[in-house]
Amino acid sequence: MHSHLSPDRPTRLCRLLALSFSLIAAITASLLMAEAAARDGFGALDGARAALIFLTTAWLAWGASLALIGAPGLQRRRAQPDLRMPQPRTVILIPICNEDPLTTFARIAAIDASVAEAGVTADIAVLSDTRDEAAARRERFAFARLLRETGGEGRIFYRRRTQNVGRKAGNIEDFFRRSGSAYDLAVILDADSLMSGEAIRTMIARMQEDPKLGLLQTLPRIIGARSLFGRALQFAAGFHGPVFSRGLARMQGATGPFWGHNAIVRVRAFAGSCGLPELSGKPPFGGHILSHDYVEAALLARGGWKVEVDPSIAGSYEEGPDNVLSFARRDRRWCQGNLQHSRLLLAPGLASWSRFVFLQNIAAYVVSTLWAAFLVASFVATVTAPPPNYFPEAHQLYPVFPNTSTREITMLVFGVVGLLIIPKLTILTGAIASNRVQGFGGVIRATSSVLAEIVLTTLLAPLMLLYHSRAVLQVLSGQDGGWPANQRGEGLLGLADGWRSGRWIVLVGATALTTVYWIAPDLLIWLLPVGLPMLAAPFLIAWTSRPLTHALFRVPEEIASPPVVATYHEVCARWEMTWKNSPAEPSAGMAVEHHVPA
Amino acid sequence: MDQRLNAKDFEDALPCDAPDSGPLRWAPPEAPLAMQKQVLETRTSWADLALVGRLFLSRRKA
Repeated sequence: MHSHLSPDRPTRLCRLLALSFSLIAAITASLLMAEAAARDGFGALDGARAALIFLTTAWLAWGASLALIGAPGLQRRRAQPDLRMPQPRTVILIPICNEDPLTTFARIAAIDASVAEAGVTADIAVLSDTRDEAAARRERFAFARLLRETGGEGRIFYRRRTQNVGRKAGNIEDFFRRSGSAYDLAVILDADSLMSGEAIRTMIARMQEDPKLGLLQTLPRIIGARSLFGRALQFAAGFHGPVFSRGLARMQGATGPFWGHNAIVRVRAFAGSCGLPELSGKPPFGGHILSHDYVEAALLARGGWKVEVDPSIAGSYEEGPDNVLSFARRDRRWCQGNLQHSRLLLAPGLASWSRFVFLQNIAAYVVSTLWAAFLVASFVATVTAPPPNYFPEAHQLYPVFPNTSTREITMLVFGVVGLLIIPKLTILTGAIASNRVQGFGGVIRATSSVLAEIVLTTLLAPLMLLYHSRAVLQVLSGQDGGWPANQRGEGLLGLADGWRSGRWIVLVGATALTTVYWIAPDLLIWLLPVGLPMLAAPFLIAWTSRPLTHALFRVPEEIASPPVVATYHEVCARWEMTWKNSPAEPSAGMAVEHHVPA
Repeated sequence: MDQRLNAKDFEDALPCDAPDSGPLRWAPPEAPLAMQKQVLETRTSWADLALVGRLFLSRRKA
């Protein structure tokens, strides 16, 4: 491994702490499980349960340790360097594929204005992979308008590929092959990304300061959410996200992550290290690499380049899914991409931490299947347990009542729930102490939001468990989910939509509850927290997609809209008016009508 | 398909008639850069494993 990528002492300490914490929690949970199971004899099924609870608890504890390591008091502050002259040749890349051109190009107009205001010189290249001809015409129309308004001729470009080989990674690669030598640095954005000129200026300065830095990732804040689900996600990303990311940054050191967008790369490093091959065999495990960003981060590290994440860089934004279905659809793609990483665990020359990151990516989805397996194994173990023997010895006068395992099971449940809740409460405590809650509407509003988010995620957890489990089983059975187009602004879902997409969850929940009720009614109460939300899946899917006022889940960007976001809304509103009056009004099939500026 | 946006509408929308705009540039500058294809898959096969096994056994015999 390259010496400058070797973890420093604090990074090694963080890793050791997180691993120790996870192992201790997992061992404790599996010992409790084994002790509870051994009351009526320890069988093979009990061994499987102990192993499953070991793995699932280790994963939960690992997540919790990120929050604890990233706690505000532990933050290491660094001064942001200033831009040096002459400025490096920089391009802002925006790969798009079947996106709403109005909002996409309005964002570019806002970024362009903000970049100019920050004194940064950068080209902008819109890299279209849009397949539909009519949609592509609308993109060109929007591009022409963008040039007219910004005077961006010769500075802002639009090119469309005729073949979208390699999807997004291939799109970026195609740009570097054709135009890479013209630039030193490339800021990679998504179609729904917004980034302030100040953020881009800071990123360029950081790349100038450290010539071994190959990629710098920012933490994008989610903006523009309107539904209950979207706003809860937006709040969690804004409130908890920075702390978790700080923990991640401290733990990953110079072999950090790439999340595919809202990051800056050194073009020479990327071109020399990140030419992705097509994997042998067919999808889902072969073919193009879906979750390419993590692989590119690993390859940069393999090439000796530092990859860092800095959640302290403000002015980086994206939009998130606005309902459960959009979220699950995105997760299906990520699941396939992450399971594909199993092919790369033994790739030659990777840093051991990169391999560990691949393992984490796989675990993120497989763990739901393990939870489901644990529930099934626990049910089977209970119903197949031998009946209690009150007179174990011959000629015994008084019966011997067997010890119940309620104490161990209750401790286990509290432990698991604690691993989920304590990190969030710790973050809340830290935010109150540092007065960070002011940006989230004050102590009472932020506390209510944290508690409401916990309740909501608890209700939706069984649905997510089934969505993840289904995705894992689909991938393992060889079903390729492809790369469905983003459906941004999909928004409101009715009960009929909820029923259509959630009836299989109702069926699973009803079957599980009925089976348990008939065979082992004593167990029913333990299954209700999982089974009831499954029965209510259609309602939950529809209800959480409904619009929510700004009273709950308030975030700083709603209290004071950042200038680049305000400019975006202003451009959007202006373009929408004239767009509709234009003879070439591109409304058909696009999500323009869904767009409501906040 | 959006039939309302035909080629003429699109040409009308272009800012080509603006003074001194010249021909519209769509593509970024041509400046090729080689992207090095990376090796990610190990070529370990059953035959390789059998070879390692045979070597191990022959060493033990010796």
